[in-house]
Amino acid sequence: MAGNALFHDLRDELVAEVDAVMEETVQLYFLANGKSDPTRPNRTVEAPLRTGAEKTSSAAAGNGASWRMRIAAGKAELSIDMARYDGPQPQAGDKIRALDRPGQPYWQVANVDDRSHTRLVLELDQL
Amino acid sequence: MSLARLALRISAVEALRGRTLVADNVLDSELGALDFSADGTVRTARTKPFISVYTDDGDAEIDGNEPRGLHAGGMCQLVFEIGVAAAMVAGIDPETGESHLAAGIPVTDQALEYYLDMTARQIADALTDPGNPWGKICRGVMLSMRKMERRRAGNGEDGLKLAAHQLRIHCAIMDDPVRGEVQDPASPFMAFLDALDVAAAGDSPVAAYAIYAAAIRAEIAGADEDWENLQRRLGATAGEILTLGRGPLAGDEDRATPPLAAGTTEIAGMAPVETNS
Repeated sequence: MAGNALFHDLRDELVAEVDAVMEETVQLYFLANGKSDPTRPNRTVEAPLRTGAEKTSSAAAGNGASWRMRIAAGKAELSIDMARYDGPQPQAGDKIRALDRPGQPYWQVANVDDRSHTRLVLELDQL
Repeated sequence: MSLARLALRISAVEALRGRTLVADNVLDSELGALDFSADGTVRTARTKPFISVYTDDGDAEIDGNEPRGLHAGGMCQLVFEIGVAAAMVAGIDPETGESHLAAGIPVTDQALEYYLDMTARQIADALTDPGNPWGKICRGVMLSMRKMERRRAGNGEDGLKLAAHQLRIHCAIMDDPVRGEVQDPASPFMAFLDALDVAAAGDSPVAAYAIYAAAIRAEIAGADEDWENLQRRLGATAGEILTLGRGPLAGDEDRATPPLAAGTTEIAGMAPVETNS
């Protein structure tokens, strides 16, 4: 990604060093309305994937008094190094698959935070 | 909280089994949380779309005619919670990432909501179906509906996208059977016990049904005098039941109520009258 300040070079070097240790292979699936998006071909990416602890919560978030259903889930984030990523822009509704983890789990992208200058952060829901 | 609620809930669960989009995944009073394992191939049947049936709070207004009417049925809330999450849909294509709710229906928020609406409608169809034996028992135990609440909820913040509908039926239910009262075998409650035995002998997923049926029969067994049944239903003391004009004769201190063999009635100013049965 274009950067013309010294701090941009330092930033890119730092993120690349961190990723060299923490990254894992993740398959990105780009979907539109639940179907494969022909304008954005699927690809893999090397990036850190962080998962939080699972917590039990009510099915009706915040409104749980009269609902008995409960879910146990945790949030996850995929943080892609912007400087080294040249693929299509992910959107909410896309899916990812962690190829290096046991069971190769899937997630669905809930939100995309692309305003950070270091990383493209995808907030993920369990699939 | 009472046998009538037990009958209502179990008959509702069994009436829905196999008759809605969730097929056999009808859960009774489920307490635990839904959890999805990382490996999609090892998930249990529980992580498919489900209907969970509960019987919630209910009040029974006791009027002055039944001083301690502990068998009163009163009101009850029969709750159906239907849940479906994108994570429940099996078979994500490892090449394209697509998954489908059914042939031709990709998994979108709208498709999940359609699934919930359809399933809720099928609940109504299953419970009102004249040919559904468990539905017939459920309708017999539920005397009348007073109110029906439909609610929806969705959770998109806690790491799992779940859409859920709740159908809450406020209904009046039958009174509990009294111990020692001879029951009509065609009554809904006795039909419920027979159906439990039949289900346990067949391929019902709940093998304990036969044990429930045996325990309930033992709880209400007996063949008491009808004044004893009345005393139980009203929760009356011996004095109260005599005051009502029911109950054993004053001379029958053991309350054994033997059949009448002979009796003498003394009326002032007349000769005693003998009565022979």
